[in-house]
Amino acid sequence: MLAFNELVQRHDRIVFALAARYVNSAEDAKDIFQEVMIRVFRGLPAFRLQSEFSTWLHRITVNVCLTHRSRSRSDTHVPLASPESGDGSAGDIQIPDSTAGPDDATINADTVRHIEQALQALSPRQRMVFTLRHFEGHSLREIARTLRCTEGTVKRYLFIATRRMREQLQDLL
Amino acid sequence: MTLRHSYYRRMLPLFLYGELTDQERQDLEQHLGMCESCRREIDGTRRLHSLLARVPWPAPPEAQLQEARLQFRAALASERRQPRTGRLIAGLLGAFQPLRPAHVFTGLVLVAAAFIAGRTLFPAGGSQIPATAGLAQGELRVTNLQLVGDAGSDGMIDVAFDAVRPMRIRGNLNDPAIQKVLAYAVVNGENPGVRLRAAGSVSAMQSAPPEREVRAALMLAMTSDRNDGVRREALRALLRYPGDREVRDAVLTMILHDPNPGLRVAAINALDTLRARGYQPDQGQLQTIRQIRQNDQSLYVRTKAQSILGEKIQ
Repeated sequence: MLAFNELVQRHDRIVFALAARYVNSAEDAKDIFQEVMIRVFRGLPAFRLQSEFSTWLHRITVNVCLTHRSRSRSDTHVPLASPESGDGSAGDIQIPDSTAGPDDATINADTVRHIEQALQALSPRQRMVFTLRHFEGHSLREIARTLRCTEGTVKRYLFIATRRMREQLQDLL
Repeated sequence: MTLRHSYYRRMLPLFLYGELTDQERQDLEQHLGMCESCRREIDGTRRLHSLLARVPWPAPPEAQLQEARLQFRAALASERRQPRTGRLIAGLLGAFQPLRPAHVFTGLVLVAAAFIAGRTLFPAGGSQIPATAGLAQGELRVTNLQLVGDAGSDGMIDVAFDAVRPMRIRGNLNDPAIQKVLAYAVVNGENPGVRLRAAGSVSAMQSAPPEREVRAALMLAMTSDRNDGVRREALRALLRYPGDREVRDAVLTMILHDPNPGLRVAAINALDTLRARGYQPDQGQLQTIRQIRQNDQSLYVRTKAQSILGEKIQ
């Protein structure tokens, strides 16, 4: 049990970060985290070392994200990184004055909300591919391996996701 | 739009991510030189990337990760203990006089029809239990009453409700029935005060309770309760089991992972106390203590780990 705790502690930060980025809800991220770790605990005895543990863990995390059903209601939804979350984290966003132009380096809370909404408007697979490629920096080959699909499929998801993000955010671009 | 053009259009996001082969990139650059539509498209995607790059995406707050870890440990411990929990509850109920099914059914039907009539079947004070633990049963209370559908033409109607009987027991801390209740309270007490007092009651016992449920509940509380005080009290109570290897493992887990630095200090002090009593860590645990000596953020914890190891620094 001690060894399992150690293994988990070494990798769990990455799991939580991906879950948080994907769902943008603290409660949903914790749910995903718990589900992933429980699956790892159950599956560890059968883990055959055909891949690295981190790769296996990443695949489980992605699959759980994709099948997760949010239990957050819109009236209680608190995004992880927003001024409203009130956790005083280093990611607090400054509110600029109303005269700031579109090229201003400061991003206001409203912009962040639009981006989050645009991401949430993508289908689960589109959102996952976009998150893994754009925010996590995984290659298309790695993403295809994780999602157990072809690179061509991943490219298609990425193309559609990019186009939809541009459509959703056209007023900000 | 021609098929060829559509092909180039789909390559645009990949171009920005550097996912094209050299040949593909050259072909696309040549196409971009001739196609204003694709140039506008790629500029639009560049602006999207630029917008996303300007948004700070900090790592999730550390506190939320710690909460997630605690929740996971609680869920894991619950999953591992599931059969025992069922036995604990069954044992808890079996320790007292069971309600006879026929009387229960009759009482529930009449209570559903008339609350006042139900009270006459279960007078206040209940029955006396000739056991070491005295049991007092209160009046049966009906809650969450619902009518399921309308009455049928045959005059039948379905009524659903919860029947709750408040109970109170009094007994000696050495009574196994009392210890089972305490174990349940340590883990399931609705507020931290209840869980804290339950763990404190175990600490106050003259000798360690033999019931496995008590020890398991304390280990679960020590590694996963959200309240610092409950985890501290559980640690104190677990020192009643010095020879138990799993307890020492749980203490090591606390040293490694508890988010409260004061509790990590308390845990390493507890480990040192056990060593002073003659309970030496085994090889696997020594390895973990070496890791603590090397990596813990607290100088005090590292120094204590060193003294536990008693090894010369190389």
